[in-house]
Amino acid sequence: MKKWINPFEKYSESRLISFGLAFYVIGSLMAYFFHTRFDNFLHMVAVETIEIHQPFIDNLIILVCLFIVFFVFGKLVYQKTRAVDILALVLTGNAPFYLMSLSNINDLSLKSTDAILTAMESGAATDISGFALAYLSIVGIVSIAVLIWNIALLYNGFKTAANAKGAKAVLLFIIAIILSITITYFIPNTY
Amino acid sequence: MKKLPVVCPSCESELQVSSLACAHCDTVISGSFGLPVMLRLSQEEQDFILDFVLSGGSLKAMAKQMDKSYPTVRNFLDQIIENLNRLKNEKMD
Repeated sequence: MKKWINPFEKYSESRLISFGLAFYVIGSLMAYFFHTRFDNFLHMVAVETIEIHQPFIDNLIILVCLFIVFFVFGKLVYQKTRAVDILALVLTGNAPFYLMSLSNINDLSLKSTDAILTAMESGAATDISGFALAYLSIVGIVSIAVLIWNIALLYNGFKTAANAKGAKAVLLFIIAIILSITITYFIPNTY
Repeated sequence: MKKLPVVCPSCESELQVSSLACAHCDTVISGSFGLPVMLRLSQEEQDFILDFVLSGGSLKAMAKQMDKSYPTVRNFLDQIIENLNRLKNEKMD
């Protein structure tokens, strides 16, 4: 169980980076095949059409932003923080979120959302499909679990890479997460 | 090997050496001797220092030996340094 929450304690940076790169490629391909885009950090949107290069660039932008933010914050906490450990942290730490693409298999998320929006717009709330509601509720619950897993991985990785301890480390980690979300939110993804 | 107790089990104060004996001729020296700072570290920390020196001071070799990642081992070494500094300062006070 521990290796799923904190692989950084045991596995070498080279192994984590190899796994992380594999997750990046698989995650981007999943996003392409299941019509989803990671338009900013910890955010995914189902789309009707997608080009093969888009999920790769989406994920690359997020990883680069995370790397810069966590490296700067890591250095603030601990001078001996190594870039290679931060690279292992962002590549591995962001991997669980790629699983969210699975929620749009066969465009299920997109179709369910559209069905609910159409029913709401026509004023016939009672026509909302029970399946669409149930499906989106399950996706919502799973999303929260994946989000918690993702944050736990990033925090454990940050703690190990930057020898972070105490309240200052927690505070800097929270600021790093918020900053990463904000930066990736403002980067246009019109490519 | 038996573990050397460094803290009093009754009041948790630091223990001192009160006698030393020669196993060869049975000479006994009595007195009050403080424990070296190194001996006041935990057994795990003492073992780490010994292995670290024997590995030629290589954290990479230590990581391999302990089956841990490099930053985990480096953080542990930093914790030992912190503890040694604290114990050293306590001794000076």
